[in-house]
Amino acid sequence: MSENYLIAIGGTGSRCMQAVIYLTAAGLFQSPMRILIIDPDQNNGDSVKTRSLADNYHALHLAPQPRQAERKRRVVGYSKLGEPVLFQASLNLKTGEDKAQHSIFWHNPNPAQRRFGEVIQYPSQRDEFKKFLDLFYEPNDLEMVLDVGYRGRTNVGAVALKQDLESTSNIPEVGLREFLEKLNIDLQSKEVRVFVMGSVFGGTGAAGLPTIPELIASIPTDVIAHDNRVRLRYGCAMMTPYFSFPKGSSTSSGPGTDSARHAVATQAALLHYAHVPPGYQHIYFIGSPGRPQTNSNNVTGGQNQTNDAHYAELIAAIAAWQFFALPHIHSNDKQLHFADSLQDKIDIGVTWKSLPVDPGKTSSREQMKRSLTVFTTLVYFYKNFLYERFINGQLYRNANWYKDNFGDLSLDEEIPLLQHLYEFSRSYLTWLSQIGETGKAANLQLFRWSALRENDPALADKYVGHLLDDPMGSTAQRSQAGFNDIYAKLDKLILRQAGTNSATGLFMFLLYTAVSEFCRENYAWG
Amino acid sequence: MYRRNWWLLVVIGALALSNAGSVMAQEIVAKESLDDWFYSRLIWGALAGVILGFLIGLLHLCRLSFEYKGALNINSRARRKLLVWAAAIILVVAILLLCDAWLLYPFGSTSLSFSEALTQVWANYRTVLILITTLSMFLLFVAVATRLKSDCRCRYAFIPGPRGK
Repeated sequence: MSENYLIAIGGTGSRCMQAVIYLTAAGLFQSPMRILIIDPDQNNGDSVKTRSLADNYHALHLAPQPRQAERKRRVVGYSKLGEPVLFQASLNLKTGEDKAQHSIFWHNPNPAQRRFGEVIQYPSQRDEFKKFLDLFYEPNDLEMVLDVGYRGRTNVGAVALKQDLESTSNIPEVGLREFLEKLNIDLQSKEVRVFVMGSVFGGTGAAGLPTIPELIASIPTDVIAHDNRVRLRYGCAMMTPYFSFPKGSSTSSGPGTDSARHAVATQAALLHYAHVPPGYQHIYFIGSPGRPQTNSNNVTGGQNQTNDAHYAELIAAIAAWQFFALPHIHSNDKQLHFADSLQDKIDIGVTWKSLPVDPGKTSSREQMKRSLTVFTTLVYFYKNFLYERFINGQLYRNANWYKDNFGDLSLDEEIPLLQHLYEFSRSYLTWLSQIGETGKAANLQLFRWSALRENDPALADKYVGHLLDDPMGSTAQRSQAGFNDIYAKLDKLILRQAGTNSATGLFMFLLYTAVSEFCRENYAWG
Repeated sequence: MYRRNWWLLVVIGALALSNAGSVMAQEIVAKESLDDWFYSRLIWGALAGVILGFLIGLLHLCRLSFEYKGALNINSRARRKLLVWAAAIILVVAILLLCDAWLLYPFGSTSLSFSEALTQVWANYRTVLILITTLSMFLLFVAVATRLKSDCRCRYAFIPGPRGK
C-alpha cells in the first residue's frame, strides 16, 4: 500500500495536521502515513499539542483489532463483520519488530537563541554585500532571535528555513532524514504523493510552502536518487487568513505578530507565487472571510501559542484526503481547487452539503459525514459513559460483552491504553467544539456543538443520539436514551473468537461495531 | 416491601400446615376429591409457571434498559424484578386457588362456603405444594429462558456464565 506523505509547516500547519490525525483516527485515511511537522519555533504550543496527539494515536494504533471477525447470529450461525476502521493507518511506523515511531517533528539542532544575522553570516560579509542585504532586511530583522519562529517575516523565514532544512537533511534522528529516506525507498517502485500544509500569511508557512518542492529538488542524490524524483507528486493546502488575534506590542527580542497584516502579507505572497509558481500539481486554496479570534492573547510563539481550532483546518485535512484519493496525477498538472458555500447566490453556510468534498461525488461526502459521525458518537460515548466506570472499579468485568468475548484477555492490564483512548476522545471533542465556537459566524451546521462539551451523563444520554446536525436528514427516529440504545447493541455482540491479543483493540472494535449500527438506525442511513 | 411479601408466604404456609390434618376437612370435603383437585391444579400451576417464566423472562427481564450510571450490567435489577414477579405470582395464584376452591371446583356435589373453602381446601399443605411447584417452575424457566436467549440483557443473572478477567 502506498504511503501518504504529509508535511505541516508552522503553527497553522500543525493545527491542520491535528485535523488530519483526527480524520485518520475516524478511518478516512487508511494508508500508512508519513508525517513531518516543520516549525522553527521548536516549543510552539500547537505543534507540541500535535505531537502529543500523535503519541496517543500511535499507542492506540498499536492495539490490533480483530480482522475477518464473525458475530453470532440471533438464532444460529455466524455472520461476517467489516474490517476494523478506527486508528488503522500507521503514523511514521518504523520497520522492524519494536513498532516504534520515527519522529514526526523536525528537530532543529541549531541553538534556539540564534539571531537571523548569524544565519546569513551578516557580520562577516563584505561591506558592499551588506548594503545589498540591507535592501531586504531591516536592522530589526537582522537582530531577530529565531527562538519562536519568524514572527510573520517571510523574507527572514524563506532564507533561514531553507538553509536549516538543507543542513539537516543528512543528520540522523532529526526527523527530516528519516522522512526523506522513506520517501526515496517508496519512489523506487511507485509514484509518491506529498501534501504540504501551511499558511501564506505568516512567516514560517509562507516561507516553507514554496520551499518544500525546491528543497527536495535540491537535495543530494545520495538522499533521493535523481531518477526517482520524476515520480513525485505534490499537493498543498494554502491557508489564507482565517483567524485573528488581539494586537500586541513588540518584544525586546524582536518584532511581534499582527493579524491585521495577514491580508496584505497574503497578497504579497500570492503575487510572488504568481511570478514564481511553487511546484505543486494541486493547490487547495483555503480561507474563511469571518476571521474569528482563535486566541484571546497576542502570543508571538512558544509553548503558550495554542490557538483554538477552526473549520478551515478541517477543510485542509479534507483537501489532503481528496488529494491522496485522486485516481491520477500527471506531472504537468496545475490545478487550483477552491469552493464557497453559495448555492443559487445564497450563502447556505458551512454544512455537510457545502463542505468542499469532490463536488459531484456524493458518495465521498456521505462517507465523510458518516465516518465523522460514528467516530464522534463513539468517543462521546466512551468519554461520558464508560471511562469512569472502567477506571474506577473495573466495572467491565461483569459486563456481558466482556464475559462473552474477552476470554483470557483482560482490560486490567491495559489501563494506560484506556487512558490514551480517553485523552484522545477528550482532545477530539474539545477540538470539535472549538470548531463550532470559532465557526459561529459562518453558520456552521455539522454537529450539535453545544452537546459536545457536555459532561453530565444524564444530559449526554439525551444528546448522544442527536450529535449530527444535518438539516437534510430526518430527526423523527432519533434516540432519546442513547446510552441504552448503544450499550444494548454492544451487550449483544458475541464474536466467534477474539481474533486479537489486545483487549483494548477488541474493545474498540466491539464499540465501533455497536456505534456504527446505532448511527445507521438512528440517522436512518440506508 | 419484599420482606413483607416473604412474610406473607410464611404465614400462608404456616396456616396451611397447621390445618393439614384438620378433622373438619375430612368431614365436609372428601380426601379423594381433595386429591383430585390437588393433582389437577398442580399440573395447571406447573404449566402456568412455565408459561409465565418464559414470557416474563423473554419479554420483560431480557429487555430491561441499561442505565447511564452504575454497573455495566443489569443483573441486580433483573434479580430484584424477578423477586417482585415471584411475590406477585404467589399472591395471584393463591387467590386464584381460593376462588377456585370456593366458586369453581365441584367437590362432589357440595358447594363450599368461603370459610370452608379457605380453611378446608386452601389452608392445606396441598395448596402450599401447588404454590411451590408453580413458583419453582416459574423461576426455573425464567432462568432457562434468559440464559438461552443469546442477546438477552440479563443472560448471566440467574445462571452464571463465563467470568470476566
